[in-house]
Amino acid sequence: MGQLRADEFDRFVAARWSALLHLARLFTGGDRHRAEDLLQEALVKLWFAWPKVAKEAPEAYVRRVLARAAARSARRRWWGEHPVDQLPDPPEVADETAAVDEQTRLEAVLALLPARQRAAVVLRYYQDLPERDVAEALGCPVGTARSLTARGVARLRQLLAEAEPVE
Amino acid sequence: MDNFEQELARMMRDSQEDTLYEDRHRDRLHAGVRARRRARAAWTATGSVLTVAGLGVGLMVLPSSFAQDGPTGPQRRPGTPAESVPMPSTPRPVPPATKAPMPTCTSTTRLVPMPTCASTTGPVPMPYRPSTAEPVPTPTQTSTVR
Repeated sequence: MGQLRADEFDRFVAARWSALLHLARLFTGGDRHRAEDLLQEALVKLWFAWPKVAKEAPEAYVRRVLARAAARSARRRWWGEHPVDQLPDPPEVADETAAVDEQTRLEAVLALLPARQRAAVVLRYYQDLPERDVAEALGCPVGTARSLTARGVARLRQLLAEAEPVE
Repeated sequence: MDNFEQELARMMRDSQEDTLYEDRHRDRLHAGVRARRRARAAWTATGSVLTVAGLGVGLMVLPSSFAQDGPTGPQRRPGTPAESVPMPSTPRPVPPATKAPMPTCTSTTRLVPMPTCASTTGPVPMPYRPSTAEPVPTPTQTSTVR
């Protein structure tokens, strides 16, 4: 029983790991390490809820946990950052391909959004969820979700227009 | 959905990288599950201990609080001998009109026979007195009727 549950769980995680990690990365504005932490935390919660949600929609459960944790963790003052003597590798801009440049640009502007607006935009445009499902995932009324999405998109429009690559 | 929103959705999808679920991810996940399970067990045990302790304290405190809510001191009941109840040291003035107060009874109107006081209002035979109306032989008395 327990082994069967563990096997099912591992199969689900292995199959959806890449997509869920990308979702977490978008939620965190491109912070890879924080995205991994967030996803691990959500998957641990999924393990304990697995008997209830395995037959229904485990991915929706993880998405909801991720979205709420991402919105909540933005209010924390400490994100687990440690001071170091030497700075990590700075981003290199000279030899990047166009795709990497676009990804970097997108993550950079996403990071400038408030966490709840970012989560609403990601759920609405990356996950292609209707407003009602965005509201359900964020745990807020539909009107609030609509407002968060609209303001987030307006801010992204402005930021991306300002950050247009100069030829 | 306008052009910008479509472009935004495309950028989000195209930026996805294929990331493998490696052994280090699996090990870390299982370690997290074990840690959460231990934390849950600790919380459950702590909750049980606190519940039992609370019940114990409640059971100890409640009877004593009930006892404090009751009579605060010994009260003299009718028919109770005076020497069994602590009385104040100053004697009460006895009204001179009452000539023969019963020393051990406070009420003379009750008809219930008390074993330690003789009532003057009711001719109820006391069990330790030999009655002449009903000469029932008792095992300790010798009867004169043959």
